[in-house]
Amino acid sequence: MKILIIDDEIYTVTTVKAFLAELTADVDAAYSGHEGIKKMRANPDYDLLILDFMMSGMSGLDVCQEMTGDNKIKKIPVLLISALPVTSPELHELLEEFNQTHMIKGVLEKPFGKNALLEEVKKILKIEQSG
Amino acid sequence: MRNSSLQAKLISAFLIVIAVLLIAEAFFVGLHLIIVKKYQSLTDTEVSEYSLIQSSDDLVTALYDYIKSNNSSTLALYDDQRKVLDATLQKLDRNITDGDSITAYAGLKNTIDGIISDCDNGVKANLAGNFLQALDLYNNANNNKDFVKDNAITLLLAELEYNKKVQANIAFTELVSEIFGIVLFLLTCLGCLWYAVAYSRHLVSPLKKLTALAKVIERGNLNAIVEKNILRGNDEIASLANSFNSMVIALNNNIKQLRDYNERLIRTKKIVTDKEIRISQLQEVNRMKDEFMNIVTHELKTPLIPIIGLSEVMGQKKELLPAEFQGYVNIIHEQAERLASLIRQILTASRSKRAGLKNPPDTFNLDDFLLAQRLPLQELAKRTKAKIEFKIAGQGIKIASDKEKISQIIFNLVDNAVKYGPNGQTITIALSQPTAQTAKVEIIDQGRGIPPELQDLLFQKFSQLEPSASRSREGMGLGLYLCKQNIDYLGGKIGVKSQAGHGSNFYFTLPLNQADPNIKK
Repeated sequence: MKILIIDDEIYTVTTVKAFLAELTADVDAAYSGHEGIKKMRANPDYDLLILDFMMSGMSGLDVCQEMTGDNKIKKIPVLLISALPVTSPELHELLEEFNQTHMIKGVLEKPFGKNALLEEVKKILKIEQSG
Repeated sequence: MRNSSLQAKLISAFLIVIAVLLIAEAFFVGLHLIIVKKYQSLTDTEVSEYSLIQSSDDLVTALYDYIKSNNSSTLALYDDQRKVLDATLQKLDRNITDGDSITAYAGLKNTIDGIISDCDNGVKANLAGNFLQALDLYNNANNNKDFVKDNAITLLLAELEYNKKVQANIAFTELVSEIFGIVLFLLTCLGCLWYAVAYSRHLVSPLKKLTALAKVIERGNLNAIVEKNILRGNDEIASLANSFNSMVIALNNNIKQLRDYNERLIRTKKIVTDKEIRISQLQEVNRMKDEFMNIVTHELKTPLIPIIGLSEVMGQKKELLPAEFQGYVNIIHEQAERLASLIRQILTASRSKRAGLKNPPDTFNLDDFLLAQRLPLQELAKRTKAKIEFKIAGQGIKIASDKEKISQIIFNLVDNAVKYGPNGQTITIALSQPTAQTAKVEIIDQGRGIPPELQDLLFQKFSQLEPSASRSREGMGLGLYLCKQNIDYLGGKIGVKSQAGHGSNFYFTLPLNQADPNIKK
């Protein structure tokens, strides 16, 4: 099982990695949208992408758009993590836009607890395994 | 001339001309008849004079025949001659009119009367058988015959004189009539010409004035009006002028009205433009504020992620820490969570305060809008594994309101239900229409319920169910206060029905038609 984290905050990545430590998964990290895209293209067999929404340079939205244009990586399920509240219009727009492609499987508002993340990750991966 | 139209005026003018021409014609015909008659009477007189000589001669001869034959047939012939002579005399009597001729005729008549008398007496004497006396009278008459000739010649001469006079008279009359005719003709022509010129001027001048006026009006001078004397007539021109005048007045009024409308429009447009500028400025400010708030949110939350997350991880393996630190990890985690919650609330509160700008109402289907919130609401409910259910009564509930505010209210109420309710509860979102002009949204939870004495305090600032010292749950009591503010703004009511231990029903009503708050002022 391979999971990629894209977030430009190094300690957020550290925290997410710490949360995921009990899973038997290979966890990779990328610290920008570009780097993340590059990693996915090199290894399109990621089972999950944990993606930050607000990043300098290439945002989470841009990453999603880039992914939809690439057949190899557009099937990778995305768990969006965001400092913006889930009720914010910006996040709403994004969810509406990508709801049709079923790319975004879940949203978590930062800061989130370990259980919330693990539950979400397990749910997505279980759906993937059964579907 | 009352109510006379132009047509009547023209026809009467032509009739006058025709009448004048007819009178002149009649005058010429009359003159001509008089002249012809004069010629005829002259000829008649001449013929009668000759026949008079012949008749008197015939009478004397008839007397002689009678005396000689002395029978009734010659007497009858004599009577016939006598009648012819009488008729001729009567004709002359009528025709002789001139002074000299009358005198001459008197002499002639005397002589003829003498002959007639002699002849008649001769007939009588012969009848009486006095033959000699009759013969004597015949001789006498026969002698007098020559006098008849002399007298007739005198009369003819007198008549000739008279003829000359009459002919001169006729020539003069002809001359006079010709001159009169020419003068009359010229006068008629002049009259017609004058009438044509004067009348056409009378016809055309008001039209010219109206045309000039129309040009003045065309140049934009709407105060020009038709002269009063043009308006006064009864003909088509006057009625045209009247219509023209009314048209100018109506035009004037219409243009004044148009100017008024235009000014009002310009004023309104200025107000609208000012408002639009203000709104777009406010929108820009708002956009910048939202952007700033996003950055602040990000920056405040980012350091909390490792604090909360890593303290949690550490807390789960407390046994690895020295005993004296094991308690601290939980404190760090709890307090970091609390800080995160406070930050979330403060940011939500400032987001909803929109730099004085009020969104103009959208028109949308409230039922569709509520159902569209399902996914984000489910995300919200995950924290305590709550289920979201919808109970929508009716379809196509059209509403003019503010989507964002409604969604904030719903999220706040659902967030409370999630926060304070038990794990795995069902939260029902119900929509109904209590009146034709209102919609009602209810958020029903299966939580602990709220005691009645606390229900009134709920919507006040910093109100929370638990006493401040024992605040075990996140939140600082701003949520319901903000909901109330939003509902007040939307023109609805918010309230709660609850019994301790039986869950709560938070509800709010919305008017289906919200007045645009920007235009109200």
